[in-house]
Amino acid sequence: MAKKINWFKYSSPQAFYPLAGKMIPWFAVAALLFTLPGLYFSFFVAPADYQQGEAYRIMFIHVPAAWMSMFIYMVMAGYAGMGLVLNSRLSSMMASALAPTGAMFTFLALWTGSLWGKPMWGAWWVWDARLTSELILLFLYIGFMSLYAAIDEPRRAARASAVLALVGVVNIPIIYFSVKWWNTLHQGSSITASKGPTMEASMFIAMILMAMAFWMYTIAVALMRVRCEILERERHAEWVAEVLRPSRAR
Amino acid sequence: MPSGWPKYYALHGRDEGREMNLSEFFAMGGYGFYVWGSYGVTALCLIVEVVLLMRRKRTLLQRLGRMSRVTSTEVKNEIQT
Repeated sequence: MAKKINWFKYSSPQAFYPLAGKMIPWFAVAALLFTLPGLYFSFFVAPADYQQGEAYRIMFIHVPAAWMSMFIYMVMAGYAGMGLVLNSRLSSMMASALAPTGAMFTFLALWTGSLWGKPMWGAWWVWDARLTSELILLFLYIGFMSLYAAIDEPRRAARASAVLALVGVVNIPIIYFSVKWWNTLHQGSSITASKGPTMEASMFIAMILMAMAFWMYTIAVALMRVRCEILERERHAEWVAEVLRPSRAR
Repeated sequence: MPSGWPKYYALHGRDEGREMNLSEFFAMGGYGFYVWGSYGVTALCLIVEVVLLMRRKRTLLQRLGRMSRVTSTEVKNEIQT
């Protein structure tokens, strides 16, 4: 008979804490292993764009950062919703562990976009549908984190911020399809499901490598943060005292 | 270009195919400020986030360690000194 693996075992903070600790170095190394060839392709392999010259190289971090800002939001809202429905502690901890990194990538998407927009459009910022909806995403992240921090009781804080996160999900398709629905200054997608990538292979490879690097980085950092969250919230538990014991030797 | 440095070619304009030197590389065809401003701030954000998290973990472990030892006598001595 096949041995049954109990997946729910790792849904308890106590069991997840050491597992997360073991996974962090692997994802950190993976992030580095994607970053190095990613940067090499971004600067040395991908040719200059025929219209935008060297400035388009911002794309290799701008597009992955923008993807991450949306993906992380979906994952965060998923965890928050799971915490709301199943009342599981670890899910809401994962949601709050992802929020700051998601907010950071949203900021980076806006920042790099601004530095790309200035030489290409002649403006740091325009109130275009894509840019505005991405800015709203930043406010949603900030709102989620502030609401969570404002309520003392962790379970109530998790519930209230989960509702906010779930309502905010409506903004994600708006960001994604904004370049199709409205006539925006922001250019359309360079990669679509129907046509595939409409760019040179080396540019596409650079972008995918950087996106993978950001993914691996995000997982590593979210695991680091969830470990802190677990320790903070479970500090009175017996097992935390066990974890702390070896650190006394230092 | 230092030896071993990847060859970087100007792929547009008059000097197509010519190897670039280091200062030309950093100039990014006149877009240096925008390109390096993007990559620099991104790198800074990622590094700062990791450093802050490592510090958070360290102070947290110290604080919790202190809390768990509060009842033991050795800590009482530590507080007095």
